[in-house]
Amino acid sequence: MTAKMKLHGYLRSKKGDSAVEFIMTAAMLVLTFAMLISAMIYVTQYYSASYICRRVVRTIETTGEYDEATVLALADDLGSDALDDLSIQIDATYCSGRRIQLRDEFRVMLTAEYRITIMQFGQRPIYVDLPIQIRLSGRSEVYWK
Amino acid sequence: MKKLLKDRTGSASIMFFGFLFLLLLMTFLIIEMGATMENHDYAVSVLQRACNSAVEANIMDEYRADRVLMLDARGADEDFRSFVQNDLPSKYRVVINTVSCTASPPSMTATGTMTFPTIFSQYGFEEITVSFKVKSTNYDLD
Repeated sequence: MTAKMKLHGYLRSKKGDSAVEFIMTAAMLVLTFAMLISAMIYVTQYYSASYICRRVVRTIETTGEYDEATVLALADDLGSDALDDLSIQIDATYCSGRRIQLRDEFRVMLTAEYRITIMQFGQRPIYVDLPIQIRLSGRSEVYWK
Repeated sequence: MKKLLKDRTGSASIMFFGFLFLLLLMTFLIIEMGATMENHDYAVSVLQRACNSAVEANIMDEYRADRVLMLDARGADEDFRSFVQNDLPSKYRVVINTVSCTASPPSMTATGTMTFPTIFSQYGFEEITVSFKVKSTNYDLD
């Protein structure tokens, strides 16, 4: 009975309520902050992937041909290693070899994943893979005779 | 009122919402600026492509056979306007102010303005208008 009364009195006591409020608010603030930072990183990674895709499109437009090695080297130079499972697919009608005739349209699809690690217990992290998919089209600027 | 202002109860919650507001504002700015830059870059690359293609398509082959580069200036001008109209999505409004071409060396310079909406323009934000200048010169004798 005495212990029950002590607990009741302890729960009704207002001492230290500011400290408890601060700890709970700080925990929420840190959690929200971490979520927003992760969202911002994802958005910037998306823009980065979009930039890589646009550069690939411009390279094919100006050279008028699709060279897989050049495209992969360009993506590598532009920091594609920050993204997981990056793949670039080109859909085009070729006039000869890998050449695309002047003003003919081609499509580039870049897919990748961005991994956000939520928690890590030892060697096994808990993570979320967020997909990134960019689709752009371009037109060749080179007239092949 | 004075009592309310001096009361420190719930100050941590107010600070929390203040920080949250700032973070949301930063996220909004990053999304809006990123999308605006992306839209602008896309439009500039389409305009540059139209300029390059117009010059490339209007080199007169009868001269090129003799390793002389001559541009059909009128054809290039018409093609440039047509390519811009066909290639840019409808959300862009382009006003072409000047198109100047020189026959030899084959060159074209175009200036004008483009207007496009932002992500949040549906909530009353104004559309963005920027000027552009694209130039292309062709030295390809092959």
